Amino acid sequence: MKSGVRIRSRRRPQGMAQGQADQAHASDEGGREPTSAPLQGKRRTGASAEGETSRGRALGQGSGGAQSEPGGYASKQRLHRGLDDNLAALHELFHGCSDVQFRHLELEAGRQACLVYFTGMVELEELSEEALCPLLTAFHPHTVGDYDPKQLAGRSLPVAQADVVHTLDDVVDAIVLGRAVLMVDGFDAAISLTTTSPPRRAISEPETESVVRGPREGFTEDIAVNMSLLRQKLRTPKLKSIPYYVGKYTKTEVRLVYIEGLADEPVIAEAKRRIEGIEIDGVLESGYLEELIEDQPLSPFPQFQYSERPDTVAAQLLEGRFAILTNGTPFALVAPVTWWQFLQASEDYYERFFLVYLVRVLRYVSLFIALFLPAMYIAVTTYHQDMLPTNLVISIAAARESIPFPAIIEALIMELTFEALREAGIRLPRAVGHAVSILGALVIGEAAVEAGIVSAPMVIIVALTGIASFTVPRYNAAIAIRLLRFPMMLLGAVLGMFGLVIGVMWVTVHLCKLRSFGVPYLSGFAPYKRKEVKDLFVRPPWWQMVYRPSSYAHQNRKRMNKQMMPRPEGNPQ
Amino acid sequence: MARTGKWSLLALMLALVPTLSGCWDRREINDMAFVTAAAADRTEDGKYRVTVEVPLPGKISSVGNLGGGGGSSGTKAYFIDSTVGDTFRQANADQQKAMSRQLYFAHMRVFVFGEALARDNIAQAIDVMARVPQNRMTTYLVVSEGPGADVLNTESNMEKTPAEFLRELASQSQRHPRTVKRVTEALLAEGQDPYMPLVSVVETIPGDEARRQTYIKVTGLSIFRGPRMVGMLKGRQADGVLWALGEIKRPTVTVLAPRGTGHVSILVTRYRTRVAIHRVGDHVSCRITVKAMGTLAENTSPYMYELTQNLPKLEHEASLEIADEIADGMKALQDMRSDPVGLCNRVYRLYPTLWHKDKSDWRDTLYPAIPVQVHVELELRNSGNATSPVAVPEEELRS
Repeated sequence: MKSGVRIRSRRRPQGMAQGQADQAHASDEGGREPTSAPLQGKRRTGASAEGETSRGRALGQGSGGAQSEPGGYASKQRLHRGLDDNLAALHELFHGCSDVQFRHLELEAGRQACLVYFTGMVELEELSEEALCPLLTAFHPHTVGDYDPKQLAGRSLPVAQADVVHTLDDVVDAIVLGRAVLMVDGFDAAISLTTTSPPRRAISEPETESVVRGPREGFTEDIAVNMSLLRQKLRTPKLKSIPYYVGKYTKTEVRLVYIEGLADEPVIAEAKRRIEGIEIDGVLESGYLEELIEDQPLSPFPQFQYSERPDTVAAQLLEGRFAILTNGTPFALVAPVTWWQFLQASEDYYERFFLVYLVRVLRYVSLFIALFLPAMYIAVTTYHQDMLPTNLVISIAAARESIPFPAIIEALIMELTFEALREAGIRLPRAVGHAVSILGALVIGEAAVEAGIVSAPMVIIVALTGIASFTVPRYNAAIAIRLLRFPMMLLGAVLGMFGLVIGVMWVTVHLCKLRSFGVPYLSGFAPYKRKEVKDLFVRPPWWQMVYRPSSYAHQNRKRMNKQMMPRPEGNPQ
Repeated sequence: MARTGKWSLLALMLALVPTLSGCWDRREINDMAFVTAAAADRTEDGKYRVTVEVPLPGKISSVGNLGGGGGSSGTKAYFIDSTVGDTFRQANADQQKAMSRQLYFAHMRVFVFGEALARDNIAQAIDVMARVPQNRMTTYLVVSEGPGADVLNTESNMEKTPAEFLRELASQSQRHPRTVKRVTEALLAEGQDPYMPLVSVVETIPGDEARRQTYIKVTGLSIFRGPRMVGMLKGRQADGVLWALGEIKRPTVTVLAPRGTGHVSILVTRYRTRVAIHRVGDHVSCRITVKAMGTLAENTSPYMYELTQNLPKLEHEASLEIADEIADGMKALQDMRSDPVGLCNRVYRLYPTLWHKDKSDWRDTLYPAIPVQVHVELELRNSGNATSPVAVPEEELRS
């Protein structure tokens, strides 16, 4: 293991069957384990053998295995030679599934066969052209009876992907994943045929991360499309993707994507271990995974970056991070992250660097405002009136003259109204949303001040805070800031500036302690790395970013040649 | 289980600590009376009369009008109250009894010493300035001609409150306005005396006797000997002292045109004053050097001063005028036995043996005997937007 990366050993999720006491014991041990525990996913003996067998197995990796879940569908059972036995078993499993199709075929010499699939999950046209036609046409040169399943797949089925499966389990897996399974009487194996998946949403511009300059494509809900989008950005066999199927019922396809040679091996091993450890009934969004595999689940700060932009994810992969794609959601998770990353927009790297200098500084100022401004206002107006210029203090006093509430109550009223408006605006249909914003503008801006419930300076403070919190480019980081604003306000109201200092210390210490997959959250700044600081607060021109950030990339750190600064010949320097 | 329970209990207890403190010394901004100016006078029976001026936020700012200001009556945007006590704090405490809001001194920008108090002793008054944290060492200090309370009571038409007016006056009166810090430093320095700007209540007489108005004006300097005021300098002498101190702000020098009729005004845009002490045997002498640059601001004579033969004469004339002012001022200071310029402080620093010999009665022996030589070099850099006199026909111009 390279120095610098330390991955905290994590408790492996326990089998459901295990007792509470066992779990507590294991968790205790996990908690006490020093941070230098081996990374290679070495199983600790603390987790019992029972946990081993009951853990959700990663599907699709290697050959057959079994789901030993008590509530699972079948045991590890090889297929029978007789078609009827197999079909009977399948009929029993898919009892009550109206959309399952059993298409009976009669091949040469009266040999029975059956194609099983879910309607809507397979491409019927493709299936009939590439599987039914060759099988059923009379002038087929060979007889099926001469073949074993492998030969049948190889010679008679012009389907792009046809796999031979041997167990009932695999057959069921193939069917629920949207493949068609061909079973032929007399074969103790079946052939799973993968057709193109059913129609999906078109690739569209990502709505949560729009840019002025930059690619307009975003991930969709389909993992295959997302993977292809990534492949189009990174055309190299070094781009690895490891599939997992997570969720007992959803069998959600999850892919761990990284660039071999750039990503840190121990980090990848740890990521694999954590994903493999997940045992849950369903995963419908990458958020499920995020909460199940993050380092510090009780921190308000996000430890994954999510993005629906292929270019953002590709850029992160190039810096030596890994991504987790989840089927069914356009949001890919990226880790390990540092705090600075949440203040960088993809566009920072597309615009020329002068502008980005300004914008980055602006974002840090905004961050400070979003977190501290209301708290500072409260602290200063209720404890430290001497810190304000005389004219300002008199203006504020005048505005507050008829306000019945103390500053903290006033601030809470306004901040909560603002948060409520924001929440309402997100959930409502767009047409109604306008009504809400008008109402909000009237309520916050005008009426509250005129009615003497809230003072005008407070409205300005809340508005400034709101605007500032929108400048944080990553939504999940903005949420953390929004959230922390309230404890800050309370500290400011109770202890004044002293309280604020306590708050700042608390946040700072927490951030220093936080790690994402072993990478310190404030990497570059704490621990300080002279060469990396340049991309934190400002964005240097590309020709100065010769090396990848050393927090993630330990190997192959050089990104480009030195002396890439353009010096066209003949130009006077 | 027990472990997490213990930890969460501890966390809960820690979370409750802030609430135990109550709200400490929280006070809402609209429950405070911000004293923006104060004046101290000596009453005849030896007590302090402390006058404070508190702006009324509801009146002063249009923002508060929406909700109707609280507690303010009348038309004035400020409130003045005056109480008598043995000490300042005693008087303030008494004042507080008549106030619905808490007196707050951190925004006190100007402090006025009434003439009687200044003539008596300012050192005692300065104690409270340094001792109470609310009071700032950056508060401007001025001395009023007559009672200080009268100054605060004078209506100001230009600013919303007399305090603001007074503060602006004090800060514009010289390059480095006299603050508590500077005055204290001068008080404590060896061989130096404090000084402060002198403000007076003056009356304008706009013809109509009924519309007579009073206003505040900086009329000169009040000169101290130690903590006691010994005199006032006005007009030329005050300007001369400010020149010597290097404190005069954008001075204008007006001289008779070197040849012929009319006056010429010169605005000095940049200058530097050097006070040097030289020792010859047992005696010291002082040389004040001023290097100044100026602009021709007005020319009522028919001479063209862009011509090389006229310019040096004018510069010389103006330099002499400035030197004269300075010499005048220094003479007055020496007569008063007060040394705000710090000539003797320089002696103390440069020639300590000499200083220690005369330390006991330096004001009477050492200081008045120092000959002061003034040397001024004024350079005219610019003649304004015009070169020749503007409204004079060309044939009448003289070179």
